[in-house]
Amino acid sequence: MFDAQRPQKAANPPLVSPSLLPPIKFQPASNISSALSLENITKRFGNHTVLDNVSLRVVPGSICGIIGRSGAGKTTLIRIAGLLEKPDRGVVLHRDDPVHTLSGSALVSARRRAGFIFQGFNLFASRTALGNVAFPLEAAGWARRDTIERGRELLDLVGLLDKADRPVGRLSGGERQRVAIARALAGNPDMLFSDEATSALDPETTRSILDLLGSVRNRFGLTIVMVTHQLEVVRRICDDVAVIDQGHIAEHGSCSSVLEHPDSDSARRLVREAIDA
Amino acid sequence: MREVLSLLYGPIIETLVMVIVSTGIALLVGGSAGIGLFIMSESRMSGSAPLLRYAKNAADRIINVLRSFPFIILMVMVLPLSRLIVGTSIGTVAAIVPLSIAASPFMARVVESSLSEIDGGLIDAALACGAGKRRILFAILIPEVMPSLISGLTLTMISLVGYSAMAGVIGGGGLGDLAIRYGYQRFRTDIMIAAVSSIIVLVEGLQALGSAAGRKIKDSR
Repeated sequence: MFDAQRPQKAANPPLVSPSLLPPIKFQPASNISSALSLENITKRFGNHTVLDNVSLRVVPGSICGIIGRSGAGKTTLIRIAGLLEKPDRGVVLHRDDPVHTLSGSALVSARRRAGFIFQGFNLFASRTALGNVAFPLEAAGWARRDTIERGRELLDLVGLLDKADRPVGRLSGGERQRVAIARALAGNPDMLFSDEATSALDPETTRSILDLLGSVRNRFGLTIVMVTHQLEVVRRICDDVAVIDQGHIAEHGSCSSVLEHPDSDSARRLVREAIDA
Repeated sequence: MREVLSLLYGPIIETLVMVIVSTGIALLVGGSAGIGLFIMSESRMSGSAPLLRYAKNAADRIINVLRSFPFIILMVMVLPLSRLIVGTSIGTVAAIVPLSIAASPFMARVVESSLSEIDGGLIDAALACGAGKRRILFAILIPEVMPSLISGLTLTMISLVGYSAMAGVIGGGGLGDLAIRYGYQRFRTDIMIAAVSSIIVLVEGLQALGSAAGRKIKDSR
């Protein structure tokens, strides 16, 4: 019924509580080569080159981790991929469509097809949990009754339906990140970008958030790109991993190959540091 | 006592009219200017065109100049403008012109500084939700800073109570006019005390209202 308001989208699958999610494995669309493709991305802030000629491809339906030390350029890379920042040079493709040159309403539409979750949650304190989840739908022009119904379905998905009317300031860190995930999923995106989404959470909450992201990927066939400095996060959930160091991709490959047999010095150092810790 | 009360009634209404109308105008004019200043300085909302930096600098200068004028000088300077706009330079309606001119740049700074308190991450989140700039401003940013805006609005209204009393000097009406004409020129200390007490009660009332409104919003979060 919501899709009457949204001409470009296919019907939304019914959303249920995470524990009841059937393990549907995503079948990638055969007509696209990559969900996300970054080609020769360069970004400078003043005289400092944060990203230097970075290229990365993400397979549709996969979870790709981007790992590196603080200041390596991870956040800038994901902000460019998620259309929150423009590159100085290079090409960004979402499902093979160039999006780096978009502006105005075309950029707004492209952002609706990509969800984003942040380390600091970035929830709107003036709104309840439901109000936060409903915001992308309001922005997309959904009718009020439908935004509420869909918002409640999404909160049910993340296990917070009973806290729908609670101001987000009265939720725990894990609950806030769940609301943020529900908000990011509200527009039925093709991709989900996660910028250190678990860095502010304790290990147990981190695991529950990662499990939620994994089940969401399996259920909806999302492609997830996640920036993290926690090797455990990559190990637990990612299919592929890219190691970024001083604005360059040092190594990119499957999780098992990069973490168990790292080729680059940067990857070796990260693995060693994780083991030492 | 009855005479004092009957003398107070009209000036209290005049003071309220001056304060409320000029606050409304300042909210409209200064509020819009404050939103404009914020947008020009926030690259997430406006991009980073170099021209914007010059425009922001120019707007900053104009607001600083307007805020630098002592109100008593501003009142005298805008007498011809009051005559042009409302047809007279004397009375409550005429006093609304300089009061609005004095309050607008103040309100612009209040709105700008409130919006500048916003964590940039919230704008990122709203952009990532696929919201347009206008929706971000009115559906997210202004509600987020509402307690700070209310506090600034209260401050503006209290300043205007003081300014409106000054407007009495040039025949602007209100409690200031009463205090000058009766309390000072006719040596009626009782009326002077009553007028000043009324101003104190008005200021206390406005502050209590503003604080309660701000507290109510904060408590609901």
